[in-house]
Amino acid sequence: MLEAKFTEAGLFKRIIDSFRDCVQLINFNCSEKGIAAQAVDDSRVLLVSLSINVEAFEEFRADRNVVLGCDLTNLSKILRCGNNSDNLTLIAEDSPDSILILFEDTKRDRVSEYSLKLMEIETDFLEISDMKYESYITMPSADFAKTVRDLSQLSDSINILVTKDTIKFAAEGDIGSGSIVVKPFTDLDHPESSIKVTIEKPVDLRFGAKYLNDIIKGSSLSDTITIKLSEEAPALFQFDISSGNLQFYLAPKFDEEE
Amino acid sequence: MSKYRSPKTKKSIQATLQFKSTPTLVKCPKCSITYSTNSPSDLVQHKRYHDLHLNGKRWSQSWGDIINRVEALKTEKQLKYSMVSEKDKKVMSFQLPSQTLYEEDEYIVMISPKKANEVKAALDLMSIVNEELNAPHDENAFWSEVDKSGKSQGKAFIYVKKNRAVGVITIEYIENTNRGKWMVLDTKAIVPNVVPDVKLGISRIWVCRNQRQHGIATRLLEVARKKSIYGCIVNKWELAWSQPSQSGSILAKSYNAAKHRSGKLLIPCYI
Repeated sequence: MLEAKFTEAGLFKRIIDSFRDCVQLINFNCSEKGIAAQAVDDSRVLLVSLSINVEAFEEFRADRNVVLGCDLTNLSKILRCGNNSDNLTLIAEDSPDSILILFEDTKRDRVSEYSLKLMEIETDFLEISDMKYESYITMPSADFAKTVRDLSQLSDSINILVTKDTIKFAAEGDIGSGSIVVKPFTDLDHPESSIKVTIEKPVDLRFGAKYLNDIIKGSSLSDTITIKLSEEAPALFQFDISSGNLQFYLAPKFDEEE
Repeated sequence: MSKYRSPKTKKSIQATLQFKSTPTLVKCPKCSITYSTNSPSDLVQHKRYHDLHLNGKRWSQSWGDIINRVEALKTEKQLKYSMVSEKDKKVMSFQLPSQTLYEEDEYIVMISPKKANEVKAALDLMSIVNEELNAPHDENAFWSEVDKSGKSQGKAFIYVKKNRAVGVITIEYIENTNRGKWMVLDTKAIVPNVVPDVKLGISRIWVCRNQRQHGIATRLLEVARKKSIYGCIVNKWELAWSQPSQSGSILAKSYNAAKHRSGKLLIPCYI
């Protein structure tokens, strides 16, 4: 039996909305540690990895490991039926063929209940080990989102160049080019607007703007984004939630060999 | 035309994520290609192959001389719903606009060996066909080339539907030779000592998978029988098969099998 209760339905809704445009089908793996999910987009360029720890729930109970295979389009249809301030509870049997989604408006004693049919999705869950990156950036997620949106108008690729004291985002396209340079700074009153850079080695990487535009949808989950970059590895873009996170692993682009 | 003054920006290629999991090989139940679901290039290749073999090859309207337009099936469907109210017996009805269920551009073309571009397109199609039939790839010269007098030794007809080549037949002329034979349909045995005077040999006949069971092959056979030799309609039994596949045998059985005294079905073939 699985019972997972969010204080606010809005959180789960925002989590799902953050990645439902880049992947269609996903397995939610529920265990005593919480809920974890992974999926790769069709082009195998972007990997989405979600973990919601037990502490993020108001109540959590998973007697056995349960896999909930969901079509995200359908799941988000149901999630739209609840109000953001409602309590949301996910309920499933030990080997379920559907999941029960319960919205409770505590003020008005209004309960709505939906059931979503589950799907058999064949994927392996990958254990992603923590690896060392060459550069780490933490910055306001809204700033990063605007940067990506602005530069993606110029080109379908965006370069991220990190050196000791600057981060440069740049795009060069048929109509012209653009660049945005930001420098690390610390805002003591509003730590979330600080920009932090830690580097082992400067990096210069290029990413598909299309995928970055998918990633910035996670901005609604967190005020800050952490970006971890290495020349020879997929980049990691991470949004932290109260207990857990949503990670995007993105394969970079390379110059076409002549 | 207006142009940007500076040269175009360099293109870059997108890397993909690689997972260490073992490649999962899948066999497509429809086109029977085995491919790895982990490899993006495999996926693309399979998609192309799948589309080509199931739906046929894209075909330009300028390729080939149209010799036969297949009549489009037009069915007008008019639905009429009526509501009768109990009180005043007024009848309300409404009608759906007439709908055309089938209006497909279907025709059969003949390939002219003198036109290089249509020969090339037809050869491309034949390589798909030969791959699927497990047949040799080098047996096209009789329809794709001409001799010194400008004549070819055969013909190729292609069935075009919705701008795709969905079927093909290639025909060899068999004149004054002893190549004709009768074949017993069930056993594939050749009847000895009888030499039917067949005129045309079917080198290949093929219809893409999604268009089978629509009578396309039969129409191709009919066209081959009537249009292969100018001004001459060949009898059905003079059209000979060569090593028909299983589905080819079924087609031969319904098209031009003859019943022997012994009760066995025979089909004309050539060697």
